Amino acid sequence: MEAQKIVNKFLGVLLVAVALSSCRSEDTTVCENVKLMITPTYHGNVVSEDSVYRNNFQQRFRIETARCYLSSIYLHKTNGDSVLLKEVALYNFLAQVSEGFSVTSDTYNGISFGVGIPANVNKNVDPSTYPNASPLSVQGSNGMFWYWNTGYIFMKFDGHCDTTGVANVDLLQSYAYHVGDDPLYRRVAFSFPAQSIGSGVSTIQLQLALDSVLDKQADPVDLRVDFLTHTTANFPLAERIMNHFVSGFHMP
Amino acid sequence: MRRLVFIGFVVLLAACAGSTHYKDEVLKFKQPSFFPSLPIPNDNSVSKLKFILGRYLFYDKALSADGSHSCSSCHVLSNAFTDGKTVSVFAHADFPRNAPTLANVGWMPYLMSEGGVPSLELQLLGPVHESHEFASDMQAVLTRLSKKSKYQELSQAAFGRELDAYVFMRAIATFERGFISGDTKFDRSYYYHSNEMNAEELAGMNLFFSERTQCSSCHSLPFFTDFQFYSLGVEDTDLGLERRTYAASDRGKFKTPTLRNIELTGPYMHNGSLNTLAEVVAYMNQGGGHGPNKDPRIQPLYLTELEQTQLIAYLKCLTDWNFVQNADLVEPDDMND
Repeated sequence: MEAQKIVNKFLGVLLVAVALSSCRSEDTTVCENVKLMITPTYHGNVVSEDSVYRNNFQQRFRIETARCYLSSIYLHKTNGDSVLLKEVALYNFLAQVSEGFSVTSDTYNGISFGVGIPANVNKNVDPSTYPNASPLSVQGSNGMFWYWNTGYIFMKFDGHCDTTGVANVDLLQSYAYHVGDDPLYRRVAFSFPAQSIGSGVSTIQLQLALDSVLDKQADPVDLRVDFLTHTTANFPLAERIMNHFVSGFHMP
Repeated sequence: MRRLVFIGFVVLLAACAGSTHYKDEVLKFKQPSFFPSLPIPNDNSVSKLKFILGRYLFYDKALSADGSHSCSSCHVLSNAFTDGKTVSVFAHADFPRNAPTLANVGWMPYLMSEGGVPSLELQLLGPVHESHEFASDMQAVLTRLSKKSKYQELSQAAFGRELDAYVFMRAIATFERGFISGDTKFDRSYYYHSNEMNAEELAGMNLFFSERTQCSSCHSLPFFTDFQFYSLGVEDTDLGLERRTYAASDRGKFKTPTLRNIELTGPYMHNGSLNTLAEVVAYMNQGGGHGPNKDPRIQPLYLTELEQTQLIAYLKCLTDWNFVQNADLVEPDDMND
């Protein structure tokens, strides 16, 4: 009977310990008080996966993938200091357009980030050594790693199109721009009126004009000719697409 | 309180069910004395259970999205881990290539024909994700594999963690490091003076190592490769090393393949364009092809028919019959248990 009591006590303590340990993990969650929302648009309208768009060449296409890494994301204070929000975030513009960060309360007037992965992180890396939840891990990168080479795919933009000009035919041709290598890393910066950020939950709104990728007025992309690059086999097209893509970021 | 006791026992039973009967131990591969020490990464020491888990995974068709093929579909032991096809059924449409042998792959300083992948562990990400190979993603592969309790048990016992990408890559890499091939008629004759080679084979060997042919300047001992990149002038659209370096001067250059087990690894060249050893020797005898950046050493050799026959006879002395029948490397009998 005495032994039974001891066992009962032990099991009681065990269960309480299990409960306490699960509480502790919640307690350590960092409070996110600033969000960076990047809304993908096409000529001013929010992009939808189901929509069919038309470029300057009157070629119809659907956007099925629009993802990129943002890295070294900084908020800039009015006194000139900068605060790192996050080393790396992976944006999937057709699914999740907002990332949360934690920042100390202060007055800020700018944001900057890299599009892609900085060279010191990009090469000679084993993604399996990152925690599985990291956007740089094998599982977290979700196909954004070059598997025949080392390094990450900075930006993926692909889907299906029709270049025949015949109205209402199915979009059977694929196009794909998978861009990533050290020379294609770009930085983007925006300033905004000084505002207090951090005391409550703030949202920084940006837009990404995806029409700039294929339908840039000064340099439209002809899908009959320039429909594919995995960077190395057609570096000039990769560079062109990356520059188009980056030019699409703007503050509304 | 009784209810609490019951819940407590359920917790304990669940914990016991997760325990494993596997016991791991250090595994030391037996390697030829004339090979340098097998390089082992700091974060992937070789153990018995890693090897066992890697062996199961290598042969598991659950790796592919449709369950139709595994690593062993293109890397068949009896073909010295090639598939005997011109280019693999699962070859990339833009870069259709012949499946390379995996013999002695543990010594390769970099993988892939253009050498872009620095370790065996990282190389394993390629086939999983490539749409033309396993057409999957790592999470989907792991979800399928995790249904087999033995994988989770082996993973915990060998790596102390659940089966994830880290475990997957390191287990298969450990198995592949065991693909050691260095027991051929040539090895026994050259390194241990066994006198097994006949006059024709010895004549071929002398040609192979001669200044006249310079075969051994790239296919150097002990692996019969110098791991460098050259063009033989093979004419096709594959960029080769240029794909990695962007340099036009690297177009058409590919990593020197090993000649160990060459008798079993045809067709030959990166695109499988030559079917037989006789065709390869004839191709080199004529001075290679007319593709870009051909190495200046690739010149007509003016070998007689007899000399070509001798050279082929020698190349057949590089077959390791024990390797291609190694029972430790075949598909496990209990693969589907």
